[in-house]
Amino acid sequence: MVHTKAEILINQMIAPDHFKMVLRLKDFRGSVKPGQFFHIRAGSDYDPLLRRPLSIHRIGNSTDIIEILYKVVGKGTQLMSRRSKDTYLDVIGPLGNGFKIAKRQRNFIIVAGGMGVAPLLGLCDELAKFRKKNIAVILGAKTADYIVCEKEFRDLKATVLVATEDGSRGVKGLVTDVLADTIKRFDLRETGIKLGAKNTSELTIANYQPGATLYTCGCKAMLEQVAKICRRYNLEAQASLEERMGCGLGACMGCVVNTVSGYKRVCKDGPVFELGEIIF
Amino acid sequence: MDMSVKIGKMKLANPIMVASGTFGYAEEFKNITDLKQIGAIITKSITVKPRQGNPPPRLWETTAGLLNAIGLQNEGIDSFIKNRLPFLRSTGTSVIVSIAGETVNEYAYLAEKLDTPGVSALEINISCPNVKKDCRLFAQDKTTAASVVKAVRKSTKKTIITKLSPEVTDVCEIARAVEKAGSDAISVINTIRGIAVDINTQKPRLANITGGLSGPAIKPIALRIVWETKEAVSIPVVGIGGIMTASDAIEFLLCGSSAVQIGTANFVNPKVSLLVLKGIENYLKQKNLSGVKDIIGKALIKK
Repeated sequence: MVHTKAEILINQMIAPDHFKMVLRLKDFRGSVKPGQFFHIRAGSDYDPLLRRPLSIHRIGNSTDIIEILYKVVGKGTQLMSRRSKDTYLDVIGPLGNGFKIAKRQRNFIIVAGGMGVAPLLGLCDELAKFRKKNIAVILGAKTADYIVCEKEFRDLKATVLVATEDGSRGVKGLVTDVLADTIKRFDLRETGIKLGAKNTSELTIANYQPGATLYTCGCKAMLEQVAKICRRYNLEAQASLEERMGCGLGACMGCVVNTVSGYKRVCKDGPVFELGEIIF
Repeated sequence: MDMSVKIGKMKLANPIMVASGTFGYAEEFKNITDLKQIGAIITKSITVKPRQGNPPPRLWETTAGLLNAIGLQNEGIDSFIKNRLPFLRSTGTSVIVSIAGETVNEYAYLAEKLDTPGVSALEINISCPNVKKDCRLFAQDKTTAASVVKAVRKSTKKTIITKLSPEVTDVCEIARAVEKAGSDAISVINTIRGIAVDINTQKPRLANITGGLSGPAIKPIALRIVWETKEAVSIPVVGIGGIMTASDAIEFLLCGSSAVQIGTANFVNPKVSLLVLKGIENYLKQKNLSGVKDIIGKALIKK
């Protein structure tokens, strides 16, 4: 973890209000894991006052290059969106624990609600390095305009299922509807696993491995539904959580989430938690 | 440049402290700032029993400010001494332990437990706005404030700093009462309660409804209370409230603070203490002064 300057190499709108920023970290030689985040100072005066925790979207070929995907929702992200190439941001990171990748697992389900996709593409980059694997990605958003990264996931040979609330793309409904439907076809007890939904191409999993690991990120309401589904099908799941943060270093206790073992800090104990551990 | 100051029996290399609750137990910052350059580290408030704190959300950012309602989440005194104090001792700087009790006896008990090497001073937190519902703080009544200080004074020979609340009618009478009860210094101000509302859900932003406001937004109030307190007592005053830069800290010193505490700014820049220190040194050089003591209370106008 370092406190350093980061040069903005790219800051580009990729969908309405959605931006991709590529940063080069100054003098950074450490390692970066998918699921970790950077605590970024968007401006330089007192409004906004605090840093913004933004998860790592993708890691470059050298670890001093990182991508951030963000949506303009307030003053901080608005300031970030106006920053031009070749200027510098004050960043602290990488922070937090990152996703745990089960080395023996070969079946993965990624569930992304809206901007929840941000930390999951970098994760998929890692999963795609496995030789024999099956990755299903379920992307959800309000409308087709806000479905991002679909091509990038497909380029990683993942099967991508899309849900939009207005039905303008993919299945009309929520990601959790698609997930439930997918898992029903994803029989965990039998040796031949089939994965797919009615409206998408059906895929067969060639290399059988019992069960699957699910990775998810999105709003609390969505995560709660995903947790219920995972409990019902006894699926191992990890979720990246979001919370308002103070220090980002585990000191202020401002960003806690309620878990079966009490309040835990999203910045330090997370942001990735076992989904079953979270109390909604 | 002589940056040293004395607070009670405690001699500090410089007047920069990090405020309770904003710096954890210092270990969280060890890889990101040079701890031994900080004048004193004040720990997160410690209670007798572990406390789980308030339900989330606990933070809400406001214009140039931050509302927090952590609710003193901490692991309790026994775990603190066993698991946190060894690192604090190793930092090579003065360690001030903030203590918070629910009763006068609890404060005395905590002070006794902390009568141990490596603890330079105690800060008595009788002004946390986030723990007592519909109930007065110890710091909101001169008699209860004094009774806590008296009990702690009996339990320890260490330097005692009493942290007061800005939410009182007359801070001077409280300050005089804690001075008389044996406090070696007074720190002001703790946060000021505030509320923020989400107009979409039409509900408060914080689960606790109210939170303590900190950050640059409260600095003028803090300076006024430092000024009033300094005029009321002869013990040192430690100024806190919205310090972000060296010039903010210098304002506090000019208003009579013998030392300053940096709080919310640690979240913005974990190295801020060192920048503030350097900035004060530069200011003193520019003014051709030999030390920080030359500016303490300089703005106070003798009546």
